[in-house]
Amino acid sequence: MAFSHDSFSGEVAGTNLQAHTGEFGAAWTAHVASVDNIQISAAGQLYKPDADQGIYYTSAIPPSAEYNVLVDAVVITAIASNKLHGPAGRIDTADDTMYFVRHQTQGTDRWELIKVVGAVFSVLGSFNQTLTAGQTYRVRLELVNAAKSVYIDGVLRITSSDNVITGAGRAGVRMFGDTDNANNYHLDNLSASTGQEDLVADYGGDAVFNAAAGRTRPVALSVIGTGTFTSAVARHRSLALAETGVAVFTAELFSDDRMMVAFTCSATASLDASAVFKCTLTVPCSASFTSNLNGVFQFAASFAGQAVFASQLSADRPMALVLAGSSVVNFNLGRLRPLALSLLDSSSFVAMLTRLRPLTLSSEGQSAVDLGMVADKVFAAEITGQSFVSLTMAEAEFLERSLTTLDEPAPVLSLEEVSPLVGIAE
Amino acid sequence: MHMRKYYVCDVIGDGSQLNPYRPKIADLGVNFVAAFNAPAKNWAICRVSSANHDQLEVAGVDSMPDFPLDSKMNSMGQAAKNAMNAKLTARGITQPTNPDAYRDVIKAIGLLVDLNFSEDNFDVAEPTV
Repeated sequence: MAFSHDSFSGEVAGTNLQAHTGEFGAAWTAHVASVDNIQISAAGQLYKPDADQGIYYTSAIPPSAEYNVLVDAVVITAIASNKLHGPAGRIDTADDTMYFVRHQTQGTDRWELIKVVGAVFSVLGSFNQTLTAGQTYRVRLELVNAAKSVYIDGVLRITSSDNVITGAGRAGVRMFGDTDNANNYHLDNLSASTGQEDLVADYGGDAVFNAAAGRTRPVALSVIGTGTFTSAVARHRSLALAETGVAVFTAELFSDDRMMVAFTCSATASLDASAVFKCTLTVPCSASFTSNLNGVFQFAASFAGQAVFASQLSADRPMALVLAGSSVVNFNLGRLRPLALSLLDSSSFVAMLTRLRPLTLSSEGQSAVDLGMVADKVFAAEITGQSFVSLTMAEAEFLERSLTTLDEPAPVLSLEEVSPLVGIAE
Repeated sequence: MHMRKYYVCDVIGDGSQLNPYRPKIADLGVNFVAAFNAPAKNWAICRVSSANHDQLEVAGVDSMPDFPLDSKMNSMGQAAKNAMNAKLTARGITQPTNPDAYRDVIKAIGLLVDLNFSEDNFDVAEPTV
């Protein structure tokens, strides 16, 4: 999950980085060892007009010392020697101590993984690559205790077990040498994130974003903006989606392995996903949300407003479903076993449930719950709460039913074709 | 054909931004990863990916045997073992007693300069063509 992102957009050319604030977690501070300003170009990229070093870190405090710092290296023209820019992490804000990546053209063109401790520089590793003018390279510095790794365009190039710098510090950028507004290479789209994503795509503002990231995994997407978002991301293990503006959000997600999805939406949105292992949905405002999710292992949805929520879920594995909010909720659930269903607030909940064993239903609010259930094997239901509950159950071979009601009205039960019926306790 | 090999070599540089501490191998145009503790120790252990390891046969760079990491040391040729021992001894590098596999030798050398050293997290990619 990204904790800092900056696309460096929306500023007048020549704006100093410390006068700019990025999309999130990205107010910038010049490091105590920084000599020159880093500025934002007309194209919304970082460059440094003076010859010495510029070191800046973001305001976001990393949740731990293990995180990634990603930045785009945008090659404007052929790169002169000693223009040394790149992402930095574990930045000690009081000392010139950090890990960082830079590209060097003095001698063989190469990426270097550098450790700086008390302004003493050591090259931990190097990967030869000549950069091409007009191209952009995604540079990722991955910081975990066991290894410091450098990825270029998603491909692992250098792995070092060095762990001399252990503090989380901050994420940021380190630049050396003057890179004019229109030459050498600039930096763009800084992201700092936890996890070991191969790709973090952050989106801000009004735009259409299309992602088709192929088989690379895992991936984390953070989407913040007020535009239209569409995504087709295949076979990724981790996905975090957050939409905080008024947007239309559509995503198709596929995974052939364990996958976790966290989705936050405050506007009209839809989400389609297949083979999702774990899914968390949060719809905090009045919105219309539709989804079609398959293979979901755990699912939690929270509705703070008057959302209209319609979802079709299916899974052949255990599933937990938690719903909160004053919403109209329609579910079509199939092949879920066992299912734990919790309704925390006053909602209208309608679901068609099939092949469930067992079912735990907890309704804390004044919900109106209408469940139609079909079970083809051993079935147990435990129902607690204060809600109007209507159950229609058919084809159950075995039923244990436990009902507890705290207040009126009592649940209304309708049982069909249940045989035998055993263990009724009220 | 690209091959990865381990080396022990001198550390050069003065620790400054434009002349950082680095293994001597860094100036020979190859992909590498290195573990060293400059300026306390003047040598580095490196893993190098190159199609031409002959270019690394220069003073101050000692190649380690081209030997599978998990192979038993008792299966390493005596000549290769003697050569390795001589190079390490000349640098004052303490060798592990009775190492089982080549991995144990590499790990022991790495731990002398990096307490977190892991041969499993010590690698560099092959050059791109």
